[in-house]
Formats: sequence, structure tokens, C-alpha cells
Amino acid sequence: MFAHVFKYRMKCFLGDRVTLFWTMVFPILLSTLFLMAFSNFSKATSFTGIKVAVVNNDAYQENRMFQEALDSVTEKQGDEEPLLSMELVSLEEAETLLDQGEVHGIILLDPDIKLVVNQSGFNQSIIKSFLDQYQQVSASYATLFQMSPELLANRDALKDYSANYDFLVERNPGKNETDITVTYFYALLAMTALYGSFWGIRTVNEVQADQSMKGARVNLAPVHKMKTLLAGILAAWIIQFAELSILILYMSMVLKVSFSNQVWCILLTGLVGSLTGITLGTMVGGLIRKSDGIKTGVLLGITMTLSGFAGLYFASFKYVVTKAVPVMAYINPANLITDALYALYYYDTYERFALNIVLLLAFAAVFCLLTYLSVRRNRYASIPSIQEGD
Amino acid sequence: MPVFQAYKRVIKKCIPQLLIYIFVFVAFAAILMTSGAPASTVQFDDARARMAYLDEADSSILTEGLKNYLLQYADFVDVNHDQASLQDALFFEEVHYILRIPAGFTEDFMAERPVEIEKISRPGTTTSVYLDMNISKFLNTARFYLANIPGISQRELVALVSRDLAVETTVEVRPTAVNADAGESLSIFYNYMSYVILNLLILGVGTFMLVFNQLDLRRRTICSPVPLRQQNMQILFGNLIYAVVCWLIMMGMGFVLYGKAMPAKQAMLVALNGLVFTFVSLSISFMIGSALNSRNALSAVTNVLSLGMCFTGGAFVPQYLIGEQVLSFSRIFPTYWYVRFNNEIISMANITFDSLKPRLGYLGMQLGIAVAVLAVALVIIKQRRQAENA
Repeated sequence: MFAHVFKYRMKCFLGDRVTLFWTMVFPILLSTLFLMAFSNFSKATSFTGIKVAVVNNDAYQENRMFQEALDSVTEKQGDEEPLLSMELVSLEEAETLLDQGEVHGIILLDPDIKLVVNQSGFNQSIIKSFLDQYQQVSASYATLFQMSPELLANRDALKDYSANYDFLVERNPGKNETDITVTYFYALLAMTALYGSFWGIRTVNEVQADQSMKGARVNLAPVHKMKTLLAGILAAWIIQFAELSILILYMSMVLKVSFSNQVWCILLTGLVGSLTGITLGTMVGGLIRKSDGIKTGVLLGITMTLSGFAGLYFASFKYVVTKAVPVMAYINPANLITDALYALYYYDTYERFALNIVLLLAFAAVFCLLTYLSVRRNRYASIPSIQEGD
Repeated sequence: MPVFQAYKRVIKKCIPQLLIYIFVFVAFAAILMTSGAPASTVQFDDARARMAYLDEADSSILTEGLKNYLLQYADFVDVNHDQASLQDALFFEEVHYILRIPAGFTEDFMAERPVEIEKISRPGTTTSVYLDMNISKFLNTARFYLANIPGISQRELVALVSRDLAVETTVEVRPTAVNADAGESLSIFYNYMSYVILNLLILGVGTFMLVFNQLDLRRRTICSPVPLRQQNMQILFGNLIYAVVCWLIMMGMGFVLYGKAMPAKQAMLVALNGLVFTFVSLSISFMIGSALNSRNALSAVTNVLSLGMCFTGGAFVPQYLIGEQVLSFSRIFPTYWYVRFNNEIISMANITFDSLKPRLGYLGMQLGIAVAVLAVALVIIKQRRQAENA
């Protein structure tokens, strides 16, 4: 009997084009839009030579030292981007370039070195740091010669200032590239998993006689209610998991979103996440005995808020929220799903991933229990709330 | 005006749904207002990167000197020193840069042995280049003195270096009309507004047309004593009133929140742009309303279309983060032109007719799109009528 009910639940769900749209087509479209929106992200935040206009006046022409210093930072050295990319122009041209936003600043020798900008910012500050350094080195030499005049006479004993000594060693922060944009995609997967709750609502509506015509009919059949409910949940789970897998596949193959390479762990996240989503839906569907529209509205509100806290709208929001209210890291299913994927991607260890999965399972268990309590043993003397044309 | 009255009743029923968009927008604007205090425009401030400073060497005079010096270029952020917290902080951009000074650093440095400081950052970012540059500057200067003055103490060394590095370049800041930070939140606010306007109109106008296009209802209204021409005029009137009311609400919000931050000329142009965009949205809504006949389809199309246009056009994510190809594609959407007009007008130092002239074309593009969409809508209507009559 279970197999029979299960088969027809599958058929019914697969024919539900509206829910299929929201749980699969819509996330696919949205992920594509995310990709488009961030298509220039890494280029825009990574360092490229800062554009400066250098005013070509007499003071500049006479200052050989400064010209050399400029050359040293504008020439490409190996693979590294040069620090500055400069244009040698007249003062008027330089001002037009600055007004039009073509350059970040103007370097003017008047005859002292001066920097003209129209706002503060990192690019402007880098130009300033370079100019500072040029003058600071001169100051250092002056100080040194004042302190030990003998060095001035005996230049061979002098050890020259060198800016080339590299004190800093770069360490890799995580297992994979530090790329905050992946959070958006992970949060989108979390949202999709929670959209599984739409299947959940439908499942629970159709086993309760006071919620739908179909439910009334199903209740007449000599099949245990829980059997029908479980068959529905199983069917929904399989479909939702398949949809989520397609989405993950689409993201990683077509959109080239970075995931960790532990495929089985990612699929496990999808499997558990789908179950949590579906049981969230059955719980809400069971507890709220109002129209389908209200249930859907409540669920949309819940999933969109939870996904928001997990970083769907602003990736760093996930971090801010869990830092301000640490417990939010553990009680938000959307965050658990996002965080599981993030932990796989960025961490070397599995503890955090495992914790997330265990908590998701705990949520699913609680949701199941509440669904069971809200649905069991309902008997109806009359069901006026069901009207024709359901 | 019975048709107009019916229009009002349909819109009234939609109000709760419409309010969701407005409330979310208000919340968004509130968050936007609180983040980012406006920087001063006349004075130049060195940009500060967020940095986690980990000193395992138990602070010597030298490292304290470095730390004090770095205060000019970095805001020190307190982060837990365990691996996971540091990784998270860097990933979600709470810190840009983690500097770890190893044990024994000071001793080795003073003895002129090779030393290494560990840094963790997102490689190749502007902030990382900026801090690298300034940290190296301090250490290189120290090294210069150390090499030339044998037996110099840490205290003397730090004093000399700090004095040299206090030499600063004069910076002149040219004023702009809207200060850059305020300008950015203004742009974000008005660009996001396009999403709200689009949704308000599609939802309102689309719902009305769905109701009025029901076959039985249409047949009934056609045989009423109100001439068809008058019916259409009343619908048009209703649409226009609704559009203008939506626009007024949005502009009212803009005025209340940002009235002070924007010069009058800019405010008027942005408002004009908003009005033009409202009309484009109206014609898009009209087309959608005439093409569809189910509420489920309406909500699907509304979401896909509005999110699609807003993501690719730069309403959510600044246009510079969006790749060239996507941007050239999104030129077919009014959002692209709307956003571009806003961005350029808000960042312009002073508006003259000459500088405005090319930008007026952006408004023209939007109107052109509106006309094209309207033409498509009329074709759809005609075809549907013919299909009904056949």
C-alpha cells in the first residue's frame, strides 16, 4: 500500500508546475543573475595600477631624482602590477582628467611635492604613501648625516637605504581562495533547500480532511494517515533532493562557482537540508490551520528572513549576525546549510561541517515531531471549512 | 466612473502585498543610513584598512613603535586569535589584513638577522598593497639606521624612524558637489528604488488587468452602457494616477531621508529620472498584464523580470562590479539607463547644460523602451481579442 501511495504522490508532485518552478527553475535563474551581478567582482576589488596625472612643468623637468623614483614604481616588475600608472600632462589637462574621474590624483611639483585629489580613499592614500616615502627617505639621510657627519665624507662606509628588503611572507588563509561571493550561492542553496517547505505544505494539506478536498478523500481511504504522510514526505524529499542536486551541478559546472571537492559531503548537505526544509513545511502546514495562501505567506516570510541572515542579500550579514548573536549560528537552518558548505570550502577540518549537519538533523527531528503531534488523531464530525472548487 | 472605481477597489485589495515591498525598502534605507558616517570633504584622511595585529613576541619597544605607526593606516580589530575566527574574519571582510609578528622577531631584527613577518590577506587587493607598502616603509627605515649606526638602542631607533615617517606630503582636496560617501549611499538608495517601483507597478497594474481580463467579466463590461472608449480612458486614467502616486511615495521617501544631502539641481534630475522610469514600468506592467491570465504566472513573471532587470542593470550591485558583457546586454533594459543616469548625475561636480546633454539620451532610451514595450502590448491585446472572437 505504501508503495502505491508513494507512486501517486510522486506523480502528483511532478505534475505541480508552480512548485517545480519555485523550487528549481527560480533558483537556477537567480543563481545565474548572481553570477552576472558579480561577473567583475574579483577584477574590481583586486589591485590595478593607480592612475595619476603628473604635471609636466619646469620643477618636474629639473628634478631628476623624483623622475627616477616615479619610474621605479610605474615600470612593470615581473608579474606584479606596477604601483602607479602615470600620465605626463599639463596642469589644465590634469585638472580635466581629475574632474572626469580618469585619474585618482594629480602630482604637482610646486616646487614642493603636492598631491591634488577630490576625495579620500585607498587609491589616493597609496599615492600619498608613495610621495611620503620619497620625502621620508631624504629626511632619513639628512638625519643620518647630521648624527654621523663622517659618513658624509666617507660614502663607502654608508649602507644605502633599500626599499627592496621583503619582510612580509604571505600565508594562505584557508583551503580555497578567499572569495566572499561564494556565500551568496551557498545561501541561495540554503534558500532553495528551505523552499522544500512548499512541498511540505502540500503534503500535509493533502492528508488532512479539513485542509483540502483531496485530504478529505484521502482520509476516507482505509490507509493509516501516517503512512500517507510518510509516503508524501518521502516523495517530496526525493524530488527536492534531485532538484537541489541539479542546482548544485548547474552552479559548479555551468556557472563555475567554487565548491570544495568533497562531493559526497556536499550531497549529504543537500540531502539533510532538503529534509529540514520539507519538514519545516509539514510543521507549519500542520500547526497553522488557515488557508493555503496564509501558510505559503508565513513560510515565505520565514525562509526569506532566515536566508537573509545566512547572507543571501549581503554576504557579510551572515558574519555580522552570528558575531553579534552567536546563538544565531546554531538556530537558523539556513545558516547551518550555508555554513556547512562554507566550512567544507574553507576549512581543513570537518568538525564545523559535522556540527552543522548534526544540528540540521536535530531540526528535522523536531519539525517531524511537531508535525506528528499536530496531525495525529484528528477526527472530523463535520468539515465546513472545505468548500467546493478547492 | 465605474471602471475607475473598480480599479481603486482592486488596488485597495493589493495594499498589504504592496506594503511589504515598501516596508522592506524602508528597512533597507534605514540600515543604509546608519552605516557609513559621511567623511569630511575638505580635509584629506589617510584611508584605514581593518587589521588584526597579533604580536607573539610579547611587545618590544620596536614592535610597539610599529604598532603605533600603523595606527595611521589601519584600524585594529579585535578578533579571537584562534585559526577559525581569523579565517572567518578575513573571509567576511571584517579584517582586510592579519599581521602576525613571530616570537624572537625583535631580537633577530636588532641583530640584523633575516626576519619574516607573517601576513594573511586576500592576495592582490588594494588594501593589502597599501599596508604592505607602509609596513615595509617602517621596517626598511629602521634597517637603514640599524645598518649605519652600530649599537643603536630600540628606543633611539623607534624615535628616529617615527620622526622621519612623520614627514607628510601636502594634499589638496578639490570639493565635489556631493561628498563621495554620501553620494554612494544616495546612488544605492535610488538605484534600489527601481526594483521597488517596478514591483509596485507590475503587482498593482498586473493584478487589475488580470481581474478585468477574465473572459466573463470582460464580456459583461463590454455590454454595459459605458462606451468602450470611455472604459479604456478610465483604465488609462487609473493607471496614470496609480503610477504617479507610486512615484510620489518613492520621491517623498527620498526627500525625507536624503533631502539635505542632495543639491536641488541633482534632486530634480533624479526625480525626473524616477518619473521616466515609472512610466517605463507602467508600460512593462501593461504588457505583462495583457499577456498573462493566472496569478501564479504573474508572481513568477514579476519576480523573474524585476530581479533579472535589476541584477543585470546594476540596481542591487554597483555597475562597476558587473562584467562588460553583462552590461552591454543589459542595455536593453530600462534599469541600466536609469541606474547609469543616477550614478553619473549624483557624482557630477557641477551640472551644466553641456555636461547634461549626453545624459539626457539615457532618459530617451528609457522612453524608447517604454514605447517599444507598449507596442508589443497592443499587439498582444489585439491577438487575444481576435482569438476570443474566433
